[in-house]
Amino acid sequence: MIIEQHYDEEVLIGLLEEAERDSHAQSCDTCAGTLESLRDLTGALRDGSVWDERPLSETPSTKTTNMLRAFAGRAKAEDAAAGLIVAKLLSASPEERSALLEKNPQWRTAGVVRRLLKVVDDKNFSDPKLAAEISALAVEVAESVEAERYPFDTIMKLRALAWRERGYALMYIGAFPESLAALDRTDECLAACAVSDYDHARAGMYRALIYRELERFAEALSIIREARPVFEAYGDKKRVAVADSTEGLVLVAMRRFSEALRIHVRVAADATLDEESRACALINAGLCYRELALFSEAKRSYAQAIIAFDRLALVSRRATARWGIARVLFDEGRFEESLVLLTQVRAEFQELGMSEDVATASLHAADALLVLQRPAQVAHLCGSAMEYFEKAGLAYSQAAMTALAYLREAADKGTLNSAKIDHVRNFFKILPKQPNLLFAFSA
Amino acid sequence: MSDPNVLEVNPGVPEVVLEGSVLTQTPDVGVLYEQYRDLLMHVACRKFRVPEPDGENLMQEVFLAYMQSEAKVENTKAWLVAAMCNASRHYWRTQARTESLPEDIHDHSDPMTHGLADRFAVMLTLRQALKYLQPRCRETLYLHYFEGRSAMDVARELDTTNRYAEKLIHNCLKRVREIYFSITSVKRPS
Repeated sequence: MIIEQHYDEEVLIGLLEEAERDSHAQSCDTCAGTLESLRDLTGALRDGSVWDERPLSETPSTKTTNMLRAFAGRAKAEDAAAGLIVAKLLSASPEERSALLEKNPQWRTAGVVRRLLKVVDDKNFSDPKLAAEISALAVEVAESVEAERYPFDTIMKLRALAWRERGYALMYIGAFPESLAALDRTDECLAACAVSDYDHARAGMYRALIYRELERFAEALSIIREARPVFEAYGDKKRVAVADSTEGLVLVAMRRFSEALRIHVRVAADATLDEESRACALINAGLCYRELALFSEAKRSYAQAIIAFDRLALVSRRATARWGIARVLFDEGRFEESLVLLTQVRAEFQELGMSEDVATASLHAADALLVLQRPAQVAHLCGSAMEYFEKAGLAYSQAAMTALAYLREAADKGTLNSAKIDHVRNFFKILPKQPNLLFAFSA
Repeated sequence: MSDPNVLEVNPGVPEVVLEGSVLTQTPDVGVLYEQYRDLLMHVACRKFRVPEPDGENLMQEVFLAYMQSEAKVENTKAWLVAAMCNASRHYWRTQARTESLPEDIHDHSDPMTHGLADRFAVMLTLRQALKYLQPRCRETLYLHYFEGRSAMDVARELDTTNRYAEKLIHNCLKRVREIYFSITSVKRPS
């Protein structure tokens, strides 16, 4: 019987096993919805747990409630006390810190570890070297916390967390073998815990990033593909998207742009994600389109990202998307327009104090000037970038200025070519992570 | 990296080690425990066949892990259910060192499925709904859906005609669905 052009429940039950043969059940949202709900129900009826008649106590255990509340209370108290302790530790020199911990064994608490890791998180991008230093201190405290004071799993998880964040801080400064060793220790700590798969997956994501840098692509992809369903099971949509995007980045590094593009487009279209994640995916999709020589699609993708970043008032991200368009214009052979945009973007990065991007955008502008046969302007561009680095007074200013001086000299002598620009570009990629790196002049 | 324009959506970026911590966010972990206890006990004891006293111990591990999670938890129910699956599997792995595993353990360890928490919640509510069914209806659904018997087999078992058995299967399914919705409309499964 058909009511108001929808199947009734009776008909839909009859269709449960063969709905795909019925065109209406396939195309009608209402009927498809009821069918899905019936399938959920019959699926559950096939599960043994539904028919398990053993009674289970429905009364919450007072012991559990009290234990959990006591743990939460103690952790809060520890966190509150940790603020002052960490301030004292951070104001001391690295050598004095160990002595202070030795003198004050009561400072070795989970709260202090958490507070130190907060500092690591804050410093990872602004002062990576300091972050790595503090992460070592966090590990030292975590490893020496009096284990008997805490439930076994909580202490092992605390240590795993400290090692994982140390692994990340080390990865960020390019110390990959040390970082992998820290992540190995993370996994060791987690192995004994009852609930560990989520933390294991998170450490795995860091490991995948390192493997990408080390060009161990197959291992990176395998780890990401194991971690993704874990995040999914834990309802962590953001990390599912991060896993997808990371997979896309590994594929980009492998120059498998079509596959990477599919992933970034999917993330960008996922309405359940926050707008920033989606806009970042649009930028990554733009890069893949450009590499695949789909220039119109690349520009459209970057333009959509710009609109989103405008709305979110994320100025630096917006500048990055504009930079992407400049790169597309360059690949299209529209060098003059590319140069105009690159000059604007470079100025934006300069205003924002994003020195690494100032350098790289300058080098892209140098590429355009080289093609336009204006070497004198390359020399001028390098000169102005050198001024910027001198004023910025960064840890790696001197090395950056040396590299730029090398380019300026080549431009003055008329020996500048794209290989020399690439050489400097590769140097700038590593420099912020290894500020003491010396520039090697190429022949 | 082949291009500096690639935006790294870095797993390290959004971590906020302390502000996002469940330790500082949970209003009262005791309330949360009471809210999710039935569902989590169902997962541990019925789905994974963990003995009840051990199930309660696993519950403590799960909530301690939840409180220690330094990143913001997006979906508490999904998080807790997935953690309980993990803890239950770990339980059996440890038990396997001293005694043999239940034969059907593999049927009970499939936590890597999308929407797992919701599926367990459906099962928990369905158990309740089945209690309100007539015994004959319960038996019909048990034979057809759980034991996988055909309508003809069900007819033989219940000593009735094939046609009536088919009708019974349909009607009982409709009835249990009706009861299921009447339960969830009063109190949605958490």
